[in-house]
Amino acid sequence: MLLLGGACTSVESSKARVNEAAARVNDAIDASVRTAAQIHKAMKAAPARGDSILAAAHLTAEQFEALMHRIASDSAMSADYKRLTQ
Amino acid sequence: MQAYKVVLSLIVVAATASLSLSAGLSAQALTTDIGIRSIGTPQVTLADRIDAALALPLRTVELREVGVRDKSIRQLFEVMGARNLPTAEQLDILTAERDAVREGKPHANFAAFVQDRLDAGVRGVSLAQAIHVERLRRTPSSMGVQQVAFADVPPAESQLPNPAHARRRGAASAHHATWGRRP
Repeated sequence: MLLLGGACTSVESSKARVNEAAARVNDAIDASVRTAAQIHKAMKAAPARGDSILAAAHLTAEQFEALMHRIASDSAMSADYKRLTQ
Repeated sequence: MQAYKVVLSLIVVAATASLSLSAGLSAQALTTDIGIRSIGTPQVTLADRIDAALALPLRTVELREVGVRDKSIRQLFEVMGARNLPTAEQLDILTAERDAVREGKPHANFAAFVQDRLDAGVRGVSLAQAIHVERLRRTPSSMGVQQVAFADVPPAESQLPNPAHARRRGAASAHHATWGRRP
């Protein structure tokens, strides 16, 4: 019984560690990549509302394109973007 | 005499219209054939711009996955950015290079090739076509366009096989490697 209880505690602590690690990875993702991923999802949901989606993100079309160029040029940022949009 | 001139000018107008139409149809057929959207046109909407921008990072991820170096991608962005190419056009260029690498025919220096074409004033659909034709030109197994391209134009020195290798392989196989067909 004690052994079983110990095993359960061990599994829970492992889960907690995994969640913490996932949270750290999530925190490490650049805020601009998150914004881009949110815009990606919003555009997929409502393709005709591009202007209002950009406005909600406080971006002009030019600023948005510049942001996406910056993400595309950076290997880590583009990999994060791909992960967040899948 | 006056009637003759009128008939002659009508023939010229008809011939010009026919040529323009066939050129337009050819360009459309090629762009459809190679999966390139109509780019550089004034009808680019905001949604098109956003769609192209959203796809840029995904395309560069694909390029890195097929083995294109990060430095090469940055150089390409520098070249395209310096020319203020529309995002949709940039996406098409990245797509063309991704397809070339996937087919095992990467450009030795794609950024320099794109810069060269841009310096020559090639833009939009024409640039995408130039990339496509260049890819076919470097395809030994592609018999269609390559034969036409090579029929009247001798290959540049750099495109000929290494003479030392040619001697080892024998002239026939070297010729085959260069021209894609047996002598």
